Amino acid sequence: MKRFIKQTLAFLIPVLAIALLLEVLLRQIPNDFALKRSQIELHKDSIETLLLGSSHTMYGLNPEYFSESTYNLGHVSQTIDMDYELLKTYLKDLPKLKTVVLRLSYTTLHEQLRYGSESWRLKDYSLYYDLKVSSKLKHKSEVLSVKLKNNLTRLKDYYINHDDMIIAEPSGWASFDQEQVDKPLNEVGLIAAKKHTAKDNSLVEENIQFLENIVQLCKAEGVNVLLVTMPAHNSYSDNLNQSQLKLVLQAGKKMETSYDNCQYLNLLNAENFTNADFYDGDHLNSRGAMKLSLFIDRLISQSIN
Amino acid sequence: MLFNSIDFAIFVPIVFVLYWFVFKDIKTQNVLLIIASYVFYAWWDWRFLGLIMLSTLIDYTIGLAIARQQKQASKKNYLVLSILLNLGILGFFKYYNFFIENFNEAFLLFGRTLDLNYLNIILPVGISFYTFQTMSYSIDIYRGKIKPTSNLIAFASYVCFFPQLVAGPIERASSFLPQVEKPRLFDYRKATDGLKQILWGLFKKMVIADNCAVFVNDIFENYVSYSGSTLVFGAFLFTIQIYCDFSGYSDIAIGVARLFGFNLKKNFAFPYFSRNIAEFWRRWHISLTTWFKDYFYIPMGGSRGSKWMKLRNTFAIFLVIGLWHGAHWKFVVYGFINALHFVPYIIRGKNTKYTTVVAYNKYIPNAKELFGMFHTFLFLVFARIFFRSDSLSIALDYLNRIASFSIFNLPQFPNRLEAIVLLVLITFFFIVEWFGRAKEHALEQIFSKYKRTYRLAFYYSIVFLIVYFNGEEQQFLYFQF
Repeated sequence: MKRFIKQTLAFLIPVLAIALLLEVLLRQIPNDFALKRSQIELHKDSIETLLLGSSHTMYGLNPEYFSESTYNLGHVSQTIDMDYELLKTYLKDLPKLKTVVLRLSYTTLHEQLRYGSESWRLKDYSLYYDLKVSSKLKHKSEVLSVKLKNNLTRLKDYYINHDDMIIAEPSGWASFDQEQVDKPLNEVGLIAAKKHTAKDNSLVEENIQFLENIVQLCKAEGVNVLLVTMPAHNSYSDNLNQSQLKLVLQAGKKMETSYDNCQYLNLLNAENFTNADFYDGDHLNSRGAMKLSLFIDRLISQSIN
Repeated sequence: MLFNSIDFAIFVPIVFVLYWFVFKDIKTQNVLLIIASYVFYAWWDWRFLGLIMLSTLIDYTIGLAIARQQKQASKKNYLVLSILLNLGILGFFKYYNFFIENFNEAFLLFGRTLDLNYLNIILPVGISFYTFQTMSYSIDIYRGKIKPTSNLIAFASYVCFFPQLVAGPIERASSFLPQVEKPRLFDYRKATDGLKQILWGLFKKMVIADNCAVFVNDIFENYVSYSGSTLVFGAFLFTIQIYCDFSGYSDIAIGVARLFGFNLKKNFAFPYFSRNIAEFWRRWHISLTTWFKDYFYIPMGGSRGSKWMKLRNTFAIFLVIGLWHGAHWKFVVYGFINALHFVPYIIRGKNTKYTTVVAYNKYIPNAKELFGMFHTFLFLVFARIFFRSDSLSIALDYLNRIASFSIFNLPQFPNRLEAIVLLVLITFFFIVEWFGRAKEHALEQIFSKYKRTYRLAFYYSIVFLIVYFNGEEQQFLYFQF
């Protein structure tokens, strides 16, 4: 028995030591989550508008074009349950907060981060926001959550190539490397629409509850909620599953009629957004983000005054 | 709790230390095994623990009752009760909606509406496996093959032993209960061999099966937009995926059991090196096929009697095996075409040919063996389209789309480089399995004639391949059965 334990440990210790070293090195790499956490905590006393959502928000709403102090707390693949967790954590720490802008996308009611291929991202909320978003041990570690292949690339990019690992600006907004994706918009829109169409409605009820929780939480603190279905290229919007889309639009309208602190805005087919405003089928580029941010800002100013 | 999760990697060493160092007598070790097994199961869904306990109590009580009866008729009554209760529970959870659907449709054919209601039933993980174990216990007592145990703790350990609780191997009481009832001694060779088997099981599951799954899921979900050649590629990868997924699970289960001093039944014997379909079914999911052979095929007459009897029994066993996988007609068809492929071998009396390993004591097979292996594998690639497709009509459409001129195009890969890497990994996997084909598992004797350093380097390479190439975590395919 002793021999077995000794030999097993001797075999495992180098593997565990390497894993530990990688974990330490990976956690030192600057990232958007750590940046956004430090920024929101730094500006918590002045933030009046908080932007929440997925990449549609992160790339599509630029706080620079808002007249009041605004922070973009959107992240790539952020789902409504994560929006709720973030809001719950920061709402009471933001004394001047008047408005929360929350995207209500085609996918919002049909996905949660813990299900599907993006679940590895839960570790970012766990490690860098200290949120209790998963009971799984692997989501408390970089090494266990992300494939070694990707982790080695990150290590090489940061420690050898000295690349900037942060995408977001200090305001939380992020821009794409180029104004438009290399492939034709018509193609990428169709692919994204297909990818975003859910297999079933199993999460809808739960996600509507998250939506209600967000609106109720804000109501209790005297904060308005603006739900926005973001503009999309027609190659995306024309290829959406109508019943999935209907559920989203209905949920937005229901929130608006049920809660006096909630307003819903459907900009999916907004005509004033042209090809030049889109990075791909469902994301705005910096020009589109400026347009949308100015529009939303005007709307918030009107509703406040 | 999944075998390929960090939770399990922590769970096993804890139970191992408690088992060998804290609870040293057999009684407390068995209690620990039951508690550990219930925790393992509850990690998935604690609500169904009651069902396992119920199954345990049913067959424990009935087993004792059968042995107490003097008259054969009374014994038979208790056996029938056990079968009815076990199949009743299994039937309710697994087949209720299937039968309702078919009853409704059958009545529609006669112009009548029945409109029986469907129920929203969750299938408890492992129910098909542990129900078969408990049922075989009562049947074996009835047949006089074993004596019932009066030790409830030992019997409960047999039913819920965590390494094989949710996806087998389906153990027989005759081989497992004696192991539970006598003290286990730690065996260094057995334990290290167990670790090797776990390592290979993890490689098969996490590297091969989970990476295949990414392509397979995409191709089967979007089959209408892919060329015939891509659909063949998807079916090929699924054939690899299902083997690596399930045999990987079995390898881990057997390996973990060995750490605790238990020997579980071998579940796979390198089935893709089979030279005909009959040999394949002797090497695939052995614990299930032998179960059906002993408790269904042989009581029906087995291979005794005329060729027609043999054929009838072969079709019957394959249809039941198909249906065991799930309440879908596609599984019935899967069983049927396997039986159909058996027919020429039964007629020519060649279904029992090839009882030894292919190319025994040789490095490469001869042309006849190679052709046999290729043709058997190719058949499985096509048969498994029924297994993987969402429905029977989709499977037929999938096959129909393969039979088009686009079969001559190069397959389209969502990611060409990843596909090539996967094919290289699959080749490596087949090479290792080929060299280990005469052994209990692929790594049993690998590099055994070389220095320890080479063996260690090989094991570290496997560890590296697992952590570097591990695919997106997928649930084990056989959990759904």
